[in-house]
Amino acid sequence: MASDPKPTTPEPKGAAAVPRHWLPSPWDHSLEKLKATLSSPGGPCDANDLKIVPWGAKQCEGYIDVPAAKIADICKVLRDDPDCRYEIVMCISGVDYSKEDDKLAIIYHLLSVANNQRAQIRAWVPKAAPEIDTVEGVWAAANWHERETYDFFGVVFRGHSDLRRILCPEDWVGFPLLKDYEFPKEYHGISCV
Amino acid sequence: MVAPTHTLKSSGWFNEVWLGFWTALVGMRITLKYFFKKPETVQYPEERMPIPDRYRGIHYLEQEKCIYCFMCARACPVDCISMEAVRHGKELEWVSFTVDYNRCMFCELCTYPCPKDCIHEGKEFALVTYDRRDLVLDLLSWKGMSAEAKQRFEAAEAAKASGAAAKDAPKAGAAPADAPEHS
Amino acid sequence: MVPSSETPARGAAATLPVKPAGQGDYDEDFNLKPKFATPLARNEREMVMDVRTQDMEMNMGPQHPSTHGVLRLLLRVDGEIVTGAVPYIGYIHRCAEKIGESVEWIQYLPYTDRYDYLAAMNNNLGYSMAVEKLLGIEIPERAMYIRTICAELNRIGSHLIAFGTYGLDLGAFTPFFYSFREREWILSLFEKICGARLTYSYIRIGGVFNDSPPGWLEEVAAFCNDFEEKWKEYNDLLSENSIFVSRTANVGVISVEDALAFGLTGPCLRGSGIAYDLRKAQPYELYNKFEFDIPVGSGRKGTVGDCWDRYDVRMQEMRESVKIVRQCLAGIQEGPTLAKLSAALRVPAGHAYVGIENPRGELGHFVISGGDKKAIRLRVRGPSFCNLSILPKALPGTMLADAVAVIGSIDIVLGEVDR
Ligand code: SF4
Ligand code: SF4
Repeated sequence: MASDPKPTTPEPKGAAAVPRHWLPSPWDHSLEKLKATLSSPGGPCDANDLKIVPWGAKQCEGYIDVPAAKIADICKVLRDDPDCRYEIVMCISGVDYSKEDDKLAIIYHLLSVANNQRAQIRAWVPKAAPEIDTVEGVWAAANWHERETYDFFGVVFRGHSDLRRILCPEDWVGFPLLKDYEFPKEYHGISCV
Repeated sequence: MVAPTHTLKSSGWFNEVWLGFWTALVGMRITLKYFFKKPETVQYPEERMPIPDRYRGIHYLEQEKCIYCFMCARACPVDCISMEAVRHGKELEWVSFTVDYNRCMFCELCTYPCPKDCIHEGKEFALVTYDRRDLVLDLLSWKGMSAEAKQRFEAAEAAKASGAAAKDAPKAGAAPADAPEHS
Repeated sequence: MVPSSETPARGAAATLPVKPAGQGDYDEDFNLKPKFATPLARNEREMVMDVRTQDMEMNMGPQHPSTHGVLRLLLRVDGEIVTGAVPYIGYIHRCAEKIGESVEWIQYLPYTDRYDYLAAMNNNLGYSMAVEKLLGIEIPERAMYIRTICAELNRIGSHLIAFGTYGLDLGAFTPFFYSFREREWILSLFEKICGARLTYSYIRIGGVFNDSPPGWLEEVAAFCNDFEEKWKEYNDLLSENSIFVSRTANVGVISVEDALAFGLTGPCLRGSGIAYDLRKAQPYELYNKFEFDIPVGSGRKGTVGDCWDRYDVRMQEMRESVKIVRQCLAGIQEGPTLAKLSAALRVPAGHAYVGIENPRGELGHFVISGGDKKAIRLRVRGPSFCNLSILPKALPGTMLADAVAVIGSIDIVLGEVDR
């Protein structure tokens, strides 16, 4: 599954200066192909919904923005399509981008053992009411990753079987990895400062 | 003798007993071999393992080299180095240089940025106290100014004073004439 | 922001998922299916009716010696048979990801030691590689060799612990001492090269902190020779031991589908029969130069994917690591060990995910930089975290005493689960 190195990335000035690290490796799924798969007829969404953010010096790794409303369908295709076959969800991470944009990103890192390739997709949810469908039905591993994202960012995964805090104590207040999180003064009489 | 191989599903009762017996014997032969060898362990407080040169233990400071630049304190991830000194021109009058070993994790990140290469981690590791507050150690070997620094400082002061005196000298000649009038 | 009604009520019993009847996969070997299905069906009804049930719920841990740390497992048992398990984690949660956002890039290095404290070199390596990817720097070759040697030695050390403590969990006390004897040698090698025995902080962004001291590489070679001899003894002591085999073969079978769905990586995935190793599949650093094999579970003593297979994969991997170290020692050249970096490291804006093969599976670091001295987000994908999540699936159907065998064979480090 060798993807063509940098098919669409606009060449930055002095292309020779781009380090090898910023080019997609042979096992990174070509973003165009991924987009074509997802937006093929009968696929979960059409091409306008998907936005390719290419590889390059600006953000290092390329990814595809997908509509949050269709995440479960998209993930199902990513798992089952013979071109993708992402059997493993490596991690689901939330990122608070509220400095630039009042949104949280939910980032899915996927690995296909059969095709030996990786992909990264992002869905954006509003920070005020972060909600997205669970992908637990697609990958069982998503269960704990989503719990972790809920724990740290307060993202509610609709349809999740057991959405509780996982690493923080159950009575912890607030979502610690949000950028506007305030540290508590104390926890059960233990001073936190 | 051929060591029997394990096939759990097909082995009969006698085979299993024989297997258990045989594999236990094999294990015992190994332990018996080591029974007659010199033990690997050392009796800790009396004997100690050698400590390599790069060991990361409790810090020591070459105080005469230190220039009070805070690079080590800034590099520390847990902010456990704090220092205080008074600058007298070029010379330093040390008040404290403490490392809080409640927090220090012996990562050695503080030693690399030091411009004078004067803070190191030593071989001392046993840090046992009855009170947590005793874990804040002062690395200074002397407080205030070192003898040499004091000498240099005094020499500089004297030079300054004499220089000032030399500068003031012409004035001084003129001043007494005015002085009585003012006083 | 989230209505409190979204948060399920506190209380363990209410949140214990009741398994639908008939999902036990273990009937062929254990003939448990009818036994397993009936009490659960009854149990479900009785829970709704709020009457006393015959199944018992009990806590294993957090202070249980064979949970390898502070893991609490809420087990539901029907007599001796586990019918449900819910892991409770987070007892040693140290906010590694939050700390990553508040300390400088290089200052985070000591914190990486502390998630998988049995394989700190590998953690250093993973983090450093992620930041290096953002920085776009090339690492000197000698540094890469030293990194590889350290990472592989650390893999051996970590697998030795897995081997020793697994025996200990199952009642074999002796192998533990032998495994610690060899591990001690590895630790003293690390002590010589970096000064610490457990939390190394040695592999850094841009290379390694110090070059190897004189005579170190020769000692590594001596260790390799000695270890090959000792490795055979381990097998005689434990792998082939009849009691050990009876305790582990056919126990806790994880099918390929389960292993993939739960995101298992490392020896747990390979134990289920999939030859997937990042060092081979997506080689990083120098791994495409070396020749080594990927051991996979063979089902030699029982079924593919049982506890013995996972154990065996680790045992074989130690030998492969020795092979890699030997090739490193043959190829290492003199040279610099640290790329040129400014002291106050500013990492260009962007994000990078780097996964490396930790002794327990894929350790992923996902770093996002805003072009500043600190990270915007530092996500750690700990292999133990994902590997542990299979327990609710793998435990039901096993005997209570075998639960220990299953947990031990997954080889978790709670420091990494909780981060
Ligand atoms: S060793 Fe690490 S934690 Fe200790 S003072 Fe130095 S930088 Fe700080
Ligand atoms: S970095 Fe070195 S010279 Fe500067 S204050 Fe620390 S010990 Fe002194």
